[in-house]
Amino acid sequence: MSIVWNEENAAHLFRRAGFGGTTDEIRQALADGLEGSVDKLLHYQSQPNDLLELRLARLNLYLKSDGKLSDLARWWLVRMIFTARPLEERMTLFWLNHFATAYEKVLHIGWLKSENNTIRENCLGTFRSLLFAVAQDPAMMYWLDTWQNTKTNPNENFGREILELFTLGVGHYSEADVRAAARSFTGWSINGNDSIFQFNSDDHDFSEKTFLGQVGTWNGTDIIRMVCSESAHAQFMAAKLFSYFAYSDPEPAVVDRLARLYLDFDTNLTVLVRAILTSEEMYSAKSLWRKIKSPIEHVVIPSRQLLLADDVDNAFQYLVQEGQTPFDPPDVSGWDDGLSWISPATLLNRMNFADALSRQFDPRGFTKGEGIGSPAELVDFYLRRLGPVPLPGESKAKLMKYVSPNGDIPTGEKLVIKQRGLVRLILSLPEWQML
Amino acid sequence: MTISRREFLKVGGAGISVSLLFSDLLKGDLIANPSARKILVIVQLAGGNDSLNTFIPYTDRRYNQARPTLALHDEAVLKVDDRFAFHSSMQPLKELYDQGRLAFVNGVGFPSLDRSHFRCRNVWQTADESAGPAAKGQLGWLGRYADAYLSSGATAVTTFAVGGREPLGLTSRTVSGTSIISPEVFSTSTDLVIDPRDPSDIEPYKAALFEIYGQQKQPGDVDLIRTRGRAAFEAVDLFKQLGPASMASYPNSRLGRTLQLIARIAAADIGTAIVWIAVDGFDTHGLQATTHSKLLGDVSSSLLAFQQDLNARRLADNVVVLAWSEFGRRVFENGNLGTDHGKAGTVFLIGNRVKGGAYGDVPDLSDLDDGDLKTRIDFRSVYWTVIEDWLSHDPLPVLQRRFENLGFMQRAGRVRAIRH
Repeated sequence: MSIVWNEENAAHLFRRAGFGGTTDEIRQALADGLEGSVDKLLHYQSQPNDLLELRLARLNLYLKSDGKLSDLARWWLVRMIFTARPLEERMTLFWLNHFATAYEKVLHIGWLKSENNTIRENCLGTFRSLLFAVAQDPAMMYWLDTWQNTKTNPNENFGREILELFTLGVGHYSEADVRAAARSFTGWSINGNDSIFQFNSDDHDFSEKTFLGQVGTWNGTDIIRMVCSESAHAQFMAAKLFSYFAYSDPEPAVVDRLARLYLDFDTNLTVLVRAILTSEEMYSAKSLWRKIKSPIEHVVIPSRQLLLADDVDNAFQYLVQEGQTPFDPPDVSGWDDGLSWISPATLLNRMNFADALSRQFDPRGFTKGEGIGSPAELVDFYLRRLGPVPLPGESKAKLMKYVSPNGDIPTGEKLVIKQRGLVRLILSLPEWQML
Repeated sequence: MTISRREFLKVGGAGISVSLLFSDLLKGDLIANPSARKILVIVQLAGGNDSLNTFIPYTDRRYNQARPTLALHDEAVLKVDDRFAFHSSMQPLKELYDQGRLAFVNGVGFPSLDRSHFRCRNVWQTADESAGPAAKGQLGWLGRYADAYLSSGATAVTTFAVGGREPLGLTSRTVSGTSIISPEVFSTSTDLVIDPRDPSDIEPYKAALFEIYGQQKQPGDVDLIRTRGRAAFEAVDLFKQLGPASMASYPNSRLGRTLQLIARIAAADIGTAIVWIAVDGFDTHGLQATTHSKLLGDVSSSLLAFQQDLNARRLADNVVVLAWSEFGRRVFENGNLGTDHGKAGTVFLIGNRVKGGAYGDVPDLSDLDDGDLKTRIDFRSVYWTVIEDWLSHDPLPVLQRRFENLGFMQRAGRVRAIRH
């Protein structure tokens, strides 16, 4: 394997497969090697998460049906920032954008939290079991009208989106397949009292359907089994996960290799993700620092890396203003990514968030014992903690000049103010918006 | 020493004096773009507005037969003539119609309307029928217009959008405008907050920030971010010039507050030429009667208040509003007291320079396309007419093919400058 396992690559792994690595995590990763680090991230079940659960319990958020979206969003943000299982949260975030479900229609905080947990529990098992769990999830069933889909009044919403967006993609099924899928899912409903799945056989169409060329008296479970066996699905899922972790528009040979592996192991996501995270492509020039941080990422990553004691106050408002309200994607196709996150207004929001974060950051504890003696050392220290951010010399010089116009390292209160300002500046840099 | 803004952005901000605002260097060199004296306000009625219940062929018996619960009764509608009426909630727009300031165009669509939100709204926004549901890397029709005619002299606020993220319709190669989620966040989305705990640190901080953003680097995503950051700082300074809101009676709704803000932007003459507003909620599959009524009421009162505001500011000759939706809805109501996705619909325009009236034929309810209203007018003819007669430019570079001029605009002569 020709991947050089250095700080840059380890930080890249933690940025993409988690939400940024702390100094300790990166140091440990360098000791564990690439494969060891990836395996640790993947096999998080052996990593206790009680500190997170303790923190969440102390927050005591009201997350029942009539709770507030801002509280549910906070619950999720706190998980992403303070988890001991970064890849678990990373996968949950990925799947919530894949099975995009919107608060705007569902309006039930308890159901949305439950869907989030269901996805978390199934995020790295087989895709088939994940899809099954999501298809029977009350929030999803309400969102895509599964519960209203009956023999006498079929509703194609879920039948269409499961094929178009969740498993195969446009071009790999026909309108007739959509109708057959819809008929197969009839009778799938919600028990409102217990907020769980319920099958109403009276509403189910038990007759024969032709789906993807196969004839049978299919039900929803059969449809899920059949789509997961399609090579078009393997291609679709391999390409999407690769694009998420490494880079968009992967080479066909790469997708083929991953798709074959995925099907050989019966849609096993751990196998697929492991292959992606240990591939040479993952650490190539096409991959490093080439994505754009989404709003959630620019909030969570520095919170982790600067070891903030608490989540930033009102982080939710910044996310709303930048167009990424947690639990409320614009529609079932999820959020767009990339440069569409960056506009003059959203950049101002990022800079203003950086200001809010810097007010909650205590530099005194952070630089203790680091032996920083000059503006250059201070700038390098923070660029490394928040990256390491590849910054041209010209820009670094301006950061140094901000820290100290005359070249002497500030002291006391002045040093505290300058460090906060430096953090604010780095988080506002064009280069730092990259992922 | 004065340097033009374009020179500044090309060469890099070396040597800015710390006490300057970012655009202090540019004052006096900001040439008001002549086109900016004319403003086009696009109102996107997102979801597929039921135009059959908006501009109603109320004397057609088939209308009542097709909509047993949703058809509006004779007595309720606001009659235009013996063929058309407005929905009962649209009294404010009826007022504008009676003044000759409102034109509505029926049967508007395109040949391959397919009832898909994602695809249809992309086609409308790119003016390109080959646009798919995921319009990656495409330019908007007004983005192409901006590239062709607004590029030189463009500022960070030449285009301005409210509601959702940057609309595809404005996506441009050279003009990167400003867009905000809602009018309520206008002040926080357009101002830079800096920790005031040490006031003496603010200027050194801003200097560092502006200098880093003023650098010229390799082309690529980072440099694009740098460009948009510069636009952000420019917008901050430009928006500081807004005067107060007027006392015109806007409804207390998001759309009302948005149009109130737009009137202030228009009056400040900071270079905004195109405004894009997205209004949600028109996908009325179920229980349509009350929802649609509220929506039309809000749209109507907001647009009337906007016209009155512009009149009071003596700007009514400088602004035209164009309202569109990605498709109309089916003629027959569904089983949920609502309507499903259809095909052709109605667009309408408002302004002093609009030749008010009804354009296009009365919808023919005996000649439907699989239960939907047929397209008789290509939506690009609407765009053609607006570009040619209101914006006074050649539409061909924008629309890439010739379309009919529908005649609903007065041929715009010179428009008086906004500032006098």
